[in-house]
Formats: sequence, structure tokens, C-alpha cells
Amino acid sequence: MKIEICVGTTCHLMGSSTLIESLEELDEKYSEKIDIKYRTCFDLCHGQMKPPIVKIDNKFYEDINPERIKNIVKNKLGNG
Amino acid sequence: MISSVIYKKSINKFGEEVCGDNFQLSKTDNSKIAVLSDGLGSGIKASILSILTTEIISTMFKKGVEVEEIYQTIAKTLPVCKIRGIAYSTFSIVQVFKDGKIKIVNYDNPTPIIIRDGELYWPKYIKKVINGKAVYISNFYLEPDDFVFIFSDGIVHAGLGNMMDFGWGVENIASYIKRLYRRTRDIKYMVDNLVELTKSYYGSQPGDDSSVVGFKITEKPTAMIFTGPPLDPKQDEYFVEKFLKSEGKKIVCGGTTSNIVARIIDEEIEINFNLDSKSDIPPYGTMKGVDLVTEGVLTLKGLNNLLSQCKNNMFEIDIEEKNIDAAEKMFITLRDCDEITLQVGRKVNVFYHNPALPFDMSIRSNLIRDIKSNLIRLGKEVNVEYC
Repeated sequence: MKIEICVGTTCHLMGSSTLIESLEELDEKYSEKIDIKYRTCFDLCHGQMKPPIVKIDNKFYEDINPERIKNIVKNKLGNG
Repeated sequence: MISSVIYKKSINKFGEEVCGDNFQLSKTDNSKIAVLSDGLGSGIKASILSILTTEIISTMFKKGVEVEEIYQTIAKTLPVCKIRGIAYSTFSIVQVFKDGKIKIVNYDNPTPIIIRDGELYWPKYIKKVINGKAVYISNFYLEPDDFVFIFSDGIVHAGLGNMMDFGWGVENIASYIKRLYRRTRDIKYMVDNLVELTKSYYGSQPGDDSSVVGFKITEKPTAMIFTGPPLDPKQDEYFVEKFLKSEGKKIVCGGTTSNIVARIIDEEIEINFNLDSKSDIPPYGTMKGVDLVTEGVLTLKGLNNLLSQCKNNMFEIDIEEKNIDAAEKMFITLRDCDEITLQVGRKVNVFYHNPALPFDMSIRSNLIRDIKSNLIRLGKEVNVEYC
């Protein structure tokens, strides 16, 4: 699973670094399946979406917090 | 084009409030001129002598006056010491030309130490006798990553009669510098280290004012910072090309701006996220053809804070290279440059004008203005081009 986290100005200010930390805390069975990339800006925060914005497998998610990103990852990867 | 990064450090004779060594840096169109002078004695008297000497030399040398005449002027101008009955101060002049030519003039200071191609290099000096005193002059060429060090005799005499019979000596210092060179190419580290060691050879009570001036020869002493998207998106390509064609270091500052550059040259931005970093500034990265990619306003703000902390030069802040953040990385890159061009896009990021944002987001143009004035104050040439 490919997770792209924006580290641009607004996403950074709204806490994207905490997302990165929370992904680091994930169980090994999940973390070995994810590939984290950092992006400069998705250019979506200009009124369209609320930062922090994360792109998971080519789908954008807005207003993400550490709990939400963990849940999304766990749900997507299922229990297998 | 060749330039140099120059860093100087001095320690005062034990118990003295002021340093009797003085250093002055000046510029001409095609060169940088650095003068180090050691005034006779110590304290205020020596300080006045050396300040006069560096000032006279810098002014006259810049105008292309011959060494003989400069020497005569100094001899006639300096006040005569009441106790010793002479007017005296030593000097070393190093002129670094843009084509890599180095001119050294040395009068009674220790022999400069030069590292060329990783080896110690002792250039041939022409001896000129002026008023019965010997002045040594040498011209030679250096390449980027070569080093020149000039000293006052306080460094060479460290340890005299204390730890060593005859002091540290130029030869020993030279081999020590070579060891330093193997460890690092950081001019600040090298000079600081030499001065620290000198201090410890004196048992932390220096018997004389001691100064080291280090020159690191560099190429491409210019940098261009591209920040903010151009007002008219149709011109993106033109300004990206202009940016990439510029000589010297290239820094892209801003998320959208870096996306524009990445899109046009079809390259990926590699962001290195450092989990150990405690910095509030977003991470930085690189891209093929670009030296540094950073986030925009927060990084610029961080850079401006660093610049504001410096009073006279950019070496006043100690930056650990290990856990460096984007602003510090940019600061270090700019430190080695003489000329800095800021290519500033005027397109407004609407999001920053959102009153709901709980942060103080000063707009880019104010930051650019402050950064420009700070860089000029610190001796850099700055051009701002709006696009």
C-alpha cells in the first residue's frame, strides 16, 4: 500500500508530522506492507480539501488525524 | 568562477579586553581582499595600530597601489610607540581573484599555510626589501576545495617555554592542518579547532593575541532561490528554464513552486524525512538538477530568523550538520555564496489568507524584503526578480 503524506506548509501546520509518527507506531504486520512517501504539496488545500491531506493508493483523504490514518490503514489492509 | 569562504577567529592575550590583531575584508569587481594585521604589543595600543594598518592596506590595495608605496604609507602614518621608539605592525594580505589566482603579500607574519590538491603547498615567494625590511610576495593559482590559512604569530608561539621549547611552529601547524583536512572540509571547524588547540597549548592563558584566518576556495559562488509560482501560469516554463540555466546553487522554496519545477523537467522530488528532528520546519529534499527543495514561507521565516541572529557574519551561529533542518540547510548553502538571486513568484496562495488559520502567516513579500536586507547587511549581493 502506497501512502503519500503531504509535508507542505498548510499540511505541516495542521499536523502532518504527527501522522508520520503515528504510522511509525503501527504494528509490524501493517508497517511492512506500507510504503510511505512524502510530497511537497498536492495543490488541493486551496479551498478544495481541508489539510492535512493524505493520498492512499491514489485516493485523497482530507482532514486526517493520527487516529484516522491508523484506522484507514487497518481497514484497508484488513486483518490479513 | 572562483570565490572563497573566509572565516576568522581570534583570542585575546590573557587579561586583555581587546584584540591586538585586526582583520578586514574588502571587495573589488574581480577579487576579494583580506588583510590580517598584528599590532606591536597588545591591548588598545596594538588594536589601534592593527586597525590603522588593515584600513590603509584595504583602501590602497583596492585602488591597485604598489606594495612599496603601501608600506611607506603605513610606516609614515602609524603612531610611534613611546617605549620602543618604532611604529610597527605586521600584515598578511590575501587577494583571491575570480579566475582562481591568489596573491599573497606577507610582512613579518608567519608563513601562510596552503593546501592544494590535498597536499601542503609552499609557493615561491619573491622577496622585496623595502626600507631594509623584507616583504614576501607570491602569486599562484588554486582550485575549488583548496585552502589558505594565515596567522598572527600568537598561534605559532603557542606552548613556547611551557609545553614545547620553541612553540608550536609553522611546520607542526601545517601537518596539523593537513590532519584536519582529512577529517573535514568545513572551514569553520578547521579554524575553530586550530584556535582551540592554540588556547590549550597556552594553558588557557594566551601569551599573545592569536588569530587564524581560513580561506576555502569555492566555485560557483552564486545561488538562485526560486520561491512562489509565477503570476501567469503560462510563464511557468520560461521561469523554470531561467532558474535551471542559472549558474551556481539552485534552491526551490515552496510546495507548489517545486511541483511546477518537477512537472516541467519531469523529475521526482525526493523528500528525506528525519524522525529525530525536533524542528518546527517541514522537511527538505532534493531533485535532479536542483540542489535543495524546501517548503515555502515557514522555511523562509526560519531562514530569516537565523539571519537576524547574525550581527556581522554568517559564521556566528553554530549549526550541527547532523540534525539539520531546511532553514539551516539553506542558511549553510547561502553562507558559501557571494551573490544571491531571489526569483519570487507573485501568485497568491489563497489558503494563507484564510482568517480561520490559527497561525501567524506573514506573507511572502514581507519575508523576502527582510531576508534581502539581512543578507545585504551580512555582505552578500542580492537581486530580487519578481515573476
